[in-house]
Amino acid sequence: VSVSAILVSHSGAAWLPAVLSSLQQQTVTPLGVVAVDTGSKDESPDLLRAALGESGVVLADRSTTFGHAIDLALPLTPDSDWIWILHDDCAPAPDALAQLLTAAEQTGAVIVGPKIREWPSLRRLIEVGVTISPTGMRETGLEPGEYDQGQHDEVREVLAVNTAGMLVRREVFVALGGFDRNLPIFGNDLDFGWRAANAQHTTVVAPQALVFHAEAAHRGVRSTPLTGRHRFYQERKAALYTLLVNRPGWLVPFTLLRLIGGSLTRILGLFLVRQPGQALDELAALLTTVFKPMPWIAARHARRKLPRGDARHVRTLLAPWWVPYRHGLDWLTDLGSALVLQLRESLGRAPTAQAEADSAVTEWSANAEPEAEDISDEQGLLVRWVTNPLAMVSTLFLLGCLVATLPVWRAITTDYLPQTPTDAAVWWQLVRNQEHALGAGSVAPTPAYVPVLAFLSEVLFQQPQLIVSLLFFALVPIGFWGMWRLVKTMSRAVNLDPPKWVLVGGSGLHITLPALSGVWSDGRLDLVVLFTFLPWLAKTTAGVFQGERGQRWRAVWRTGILLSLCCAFVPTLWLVWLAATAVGLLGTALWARKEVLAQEVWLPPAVMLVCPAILLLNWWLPFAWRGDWLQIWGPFGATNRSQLTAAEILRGQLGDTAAEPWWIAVLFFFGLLPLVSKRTRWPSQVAWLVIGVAAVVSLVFSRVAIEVGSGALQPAISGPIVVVMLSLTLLTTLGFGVVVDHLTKRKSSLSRISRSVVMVGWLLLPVVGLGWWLGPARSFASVSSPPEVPAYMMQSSAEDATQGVLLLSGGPESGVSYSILRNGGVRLGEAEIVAFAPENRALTDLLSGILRDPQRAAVDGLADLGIDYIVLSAPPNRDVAATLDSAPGLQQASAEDRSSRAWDVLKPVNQDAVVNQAEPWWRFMLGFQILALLVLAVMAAPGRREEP
Amino acid sequence: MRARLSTRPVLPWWALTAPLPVAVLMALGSVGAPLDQNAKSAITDQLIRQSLGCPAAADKDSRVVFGSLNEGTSAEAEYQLETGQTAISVKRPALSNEVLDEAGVLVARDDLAPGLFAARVSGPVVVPCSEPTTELWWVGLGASPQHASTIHLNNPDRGPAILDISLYDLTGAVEASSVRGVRVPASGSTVLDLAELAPSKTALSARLVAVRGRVSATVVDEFDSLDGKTPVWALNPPVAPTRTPQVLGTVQRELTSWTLTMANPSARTATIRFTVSSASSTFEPSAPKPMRLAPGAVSELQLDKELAQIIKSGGLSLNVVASDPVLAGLSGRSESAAAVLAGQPGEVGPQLAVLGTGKKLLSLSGASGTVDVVMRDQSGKVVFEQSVAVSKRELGQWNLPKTSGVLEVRSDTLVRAVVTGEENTWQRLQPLRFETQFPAVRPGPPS
Repeated sequence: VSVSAILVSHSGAAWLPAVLSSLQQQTVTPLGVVAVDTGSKDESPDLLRAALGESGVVLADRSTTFGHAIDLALPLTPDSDWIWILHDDCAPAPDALAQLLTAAEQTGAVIVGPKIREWPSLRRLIEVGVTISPTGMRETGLEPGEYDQGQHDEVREVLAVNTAGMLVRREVFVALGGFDRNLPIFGNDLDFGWRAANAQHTTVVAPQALVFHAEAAHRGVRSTPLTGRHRFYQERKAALYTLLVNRPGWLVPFTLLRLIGGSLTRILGLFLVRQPGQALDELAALLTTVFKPMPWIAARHARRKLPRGDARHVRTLLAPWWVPYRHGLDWLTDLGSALVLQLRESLGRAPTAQAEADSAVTEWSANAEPEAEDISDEQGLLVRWVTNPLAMVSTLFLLGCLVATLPVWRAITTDYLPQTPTDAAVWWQLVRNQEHALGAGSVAPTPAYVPVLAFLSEVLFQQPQLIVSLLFFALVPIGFWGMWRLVKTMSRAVNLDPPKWVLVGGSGLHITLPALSGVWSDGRLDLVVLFTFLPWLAKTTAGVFQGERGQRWRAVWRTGILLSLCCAFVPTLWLVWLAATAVGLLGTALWARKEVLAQEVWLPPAVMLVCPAILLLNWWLPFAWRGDWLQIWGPFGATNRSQLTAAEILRGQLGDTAAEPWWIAVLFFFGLLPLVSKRTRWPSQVAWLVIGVAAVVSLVFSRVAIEVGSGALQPAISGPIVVVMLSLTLLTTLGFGVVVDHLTKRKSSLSRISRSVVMVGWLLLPVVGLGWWLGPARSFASVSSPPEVPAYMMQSSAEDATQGVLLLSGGPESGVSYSILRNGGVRLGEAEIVAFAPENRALTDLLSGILRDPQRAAVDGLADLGIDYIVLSAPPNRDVAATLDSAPGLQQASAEDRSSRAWDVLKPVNQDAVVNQAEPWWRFMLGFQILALLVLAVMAAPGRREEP
Repeated sequence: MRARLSTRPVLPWWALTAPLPVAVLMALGSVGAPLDQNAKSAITDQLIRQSLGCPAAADKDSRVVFGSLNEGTSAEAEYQLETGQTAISVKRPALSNEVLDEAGVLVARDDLAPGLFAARVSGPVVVPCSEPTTELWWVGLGASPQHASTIHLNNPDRGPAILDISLYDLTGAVEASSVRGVRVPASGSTVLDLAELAPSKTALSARLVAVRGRVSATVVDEFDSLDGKTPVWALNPPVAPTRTPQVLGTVQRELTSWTLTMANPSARTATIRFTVSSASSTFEPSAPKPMRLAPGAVSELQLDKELAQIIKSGGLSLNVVASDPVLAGLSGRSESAAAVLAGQPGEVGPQLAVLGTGKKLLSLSGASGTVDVVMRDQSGKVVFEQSVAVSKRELGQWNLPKTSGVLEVRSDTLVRAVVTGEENTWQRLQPLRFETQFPAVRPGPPS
């Protein structure tokens, strides 16, 4: 049995000495060896010439494909029965050729391949035969990184074997036409093996023959002109080509369809794991294959001349149909695992972070008295809970908080929170429409939080009320957890490891602040959401300025998403973040001017601030387009009831049922402590700077009046005040941590007593806050009475948006204000649209005219504007009532009670007076935002780890 | 030691950190006050429609006199009867005299609306036509055989007016269910006899509130000595609660029996003191004494001797000065005449009265300043014109020509103007409306 070896080389000097050496060490010596060098830029040709002599080396140009290289070498090889093909990065074991020949002899196969192990690890399996899946993926049947323990050492028939170490009978190779010229470098083995199988030839893998393969081209260790930088594109193109060329003709249309579907799915998946380059390669390969079909159509035509074997036998060599789906499932599982791992990392619970924390705890425990967490893990959960006072207190506290949140599970309507729509479609309609049939008709943009609520209600069974309840309820678990993590992160930043009871106290105090400040019982959904997510936002923002580059950028995207979420409810928060970032960068510039100009310093925070501008485009762009910049910062619900005075702010009273200001005094006083301690001085100065920025933003906005149709609104300064409260709570917690640390290091009994007193005092704060929450602040307060609209009018307006009810209040001295009730009353998300609508001058003039000189034409004009009834709020101004009484075209209508007055507009209303109208432009913008959110989510999510 | 000093920072740490919390507190403490949401005001514009309700004729000689002080040219006025018919339709008369028996509503539009005035005149007796309104007060009403009051109501609008009338006497609120929900038909009139609503009650104060629509009203008081002599009657003009010093007319020497009725509609006890104005000064009389009036209370004082003493000492008018808004009316009568002098707080700007025939005396008081007085006769000819000085502490009086006509008083300061005439007629000058005050209209918060 004679064998000729062909070695193809391209810039493989790193491996060639070993390859040539292993070739010389073969127990069965080939008759001759011919090497083809395809334009190496290193010393490969010299190495080859030194080993094989001048006649044994063929020099080809750089564009020579693998198949062409073999064709160039084949005539120069001695006339032999077999050809043994080798790469310049594969080193055969000394008995490899002998084992291949033995297997060929035993099985009668015409193509024999070795077992391929990874080079340089030498232990991991790369291939033991290979086949192709219906989606064109290379299937080896091996686990990634699987070690060779002899588990696959069985000679068996396969579809194809790798060209690295492939032994093929010369006459078969020639008869089949060699390797396909359309496959420059990848996929030759699969195509050739499939072609051979179709021609009833047998290919076997001989695991006893061992070849070590560096896979330099596949792994991108070297680049060739044939692959360029788009290696993945070449691989996918080759795979698609192979499938379309070798499958039976009647299956080609189905194959094509499946390839398109599979490729699009893969593209989406690759985007999701932040591999846009590969996604684009996949797309390019698909488009090239679909829109340039001539190469594979011509190849199919050429192969008709080849003999055809048993197609059913070939099918047994292909990968089963379900293999791609299994891979998809595996991929999803891997992604889920990665997300969980990433989440753990971000929470500081990754092994590395935990190890650091554990070491700190260990160090600290050596000098401290035993803490509750020292209780053995071997004990049961209940035992540990019962024997741990802190755990008991924490659990009881959180249970108390949950009891305090029980009222959220009913429909809440307060001065600040209009009624929630019963159907999420109402919110989607607001999102979709540019023109709204609300009030006197409005083209004001939909509030930024409406898409959030609409999306969440879609996720949660189309239950808008449930979403509102959950947002209130989330304060307890998510707010508590977030504050815990924030304090933990900040403590670690200053090398402080406060005991858990300090963390419990700080986190507990944070979630009772909405109750203490009166925000909770006023039903301030916007501020409750802020209290819930602000700790998380602060924590991710801190991550933007520290850590490795990858972590920082992930923190940027996460901060962008969280900042957008919070700004959707409290837009002024963006200005606080902007100002704080600007101050931070300016401060840094004072110390290191050049460093600030470095892109990696200013770009991440800049991107962080741009994210809300993109995600909340629907909200701010229409205002900006009209030049109404101030309206962007309007308060939640467009109500002026949230106006704050300096005294109220300093007393921490953001709502009507705020507690006495003892707690804000505690926060201010103990918030100064970290400034005193040398260890925490620098970070606490930064925190105080943030507080200062928030205070200045509040100050500036308190002097600003947003002109809207109904008068002047004050921007939502409550949001920056919540930032102040959070920062003070954080500082106070750190301050207590410093005090405890100080006392712990002193061993005197007085210190122990002091420490106990501090602990009791600190834990008392949230407990008292909880007491307030369970007491006066528990129920949702509604101080304003509902509009005095009779039930029949409410029903009429609810059934038909054009049947508006004009509500009048005031009189000649104070002026008459009007509003139009439609849809049975304003609902959550609609108040801003009505309030920010430009004044309907036609309606105002009409009403002025009626109150001045009631004429039939003016009254009929009301009907033309979609007004069916008029209600004069109690107590009705007699002059206004008398004027309306005297107006022709109005008829007395029964009012809700004797204290109010109502009239019926006799002329039928104009059905086209107010309309809901969607514009394609707005849909496009919404689509853009959704896409941006997806991209941000992908960027914030953990990426696929590079294979080792 | 030197080395340690040299490594010490230039500023201590607290000097760098202390300003931060202080700055925060200062910034938060400087947060502005809430925006003023009540910065809304009424809008004033020229009157384009005005209506005045005129009572029915008391005798066959009465006529309705009306006109306008506006300088416009093209305008029309209609006198609409309660039957819905139009009695007259005239264009821009200088001063129109029409014999009209029925009660009706004079409606003027466009140029005739500003400065519109009207009155029913019968010899020296003049009953002004009044502007429809939604709230009116009277004091000194009666529902007894000796003193009976009737309220004449006119509804100028095309829908019915519904009225609630609250009555108070010396004991407080009077229970009279029939005075709630009084209906005045559209463009119609109704007469309410208090003797039927609250029989035998005296010293009544009444508050009329239109819960639907509006009305103009005239109250006639009839005094009967029940000794077979002819009863005498007088108009009881409406009053308004005010803290401004009120001049209770100018007392007429022919009347001998005087009754002062006061009511306190406010929620606080009012302290009331009295002053007397003479031609040379204003002084506090020895009687009546200052008094206190409880919230919701009505007080009646018999002042026969006190006013006689005041007249004897040269006093011309009795004034009421109260700490809180009160209502005050002084009724005087003799065997052959009666007059009800309502509290007169005074007006700024043009005031007007239609005058009957006979002797007439104009009394002016108020803030110090100059007042232009012009009287025209029926043809529009000026028969009296004078710029007079009014003093804060004196009450000036001028005799007017005997002819009937229109008296106009213009001043930039507060002026209380009263005309007394023959047969103890008494009337205060009415402010004229040239402009309308309607509410500023603007969108309110969403509902």
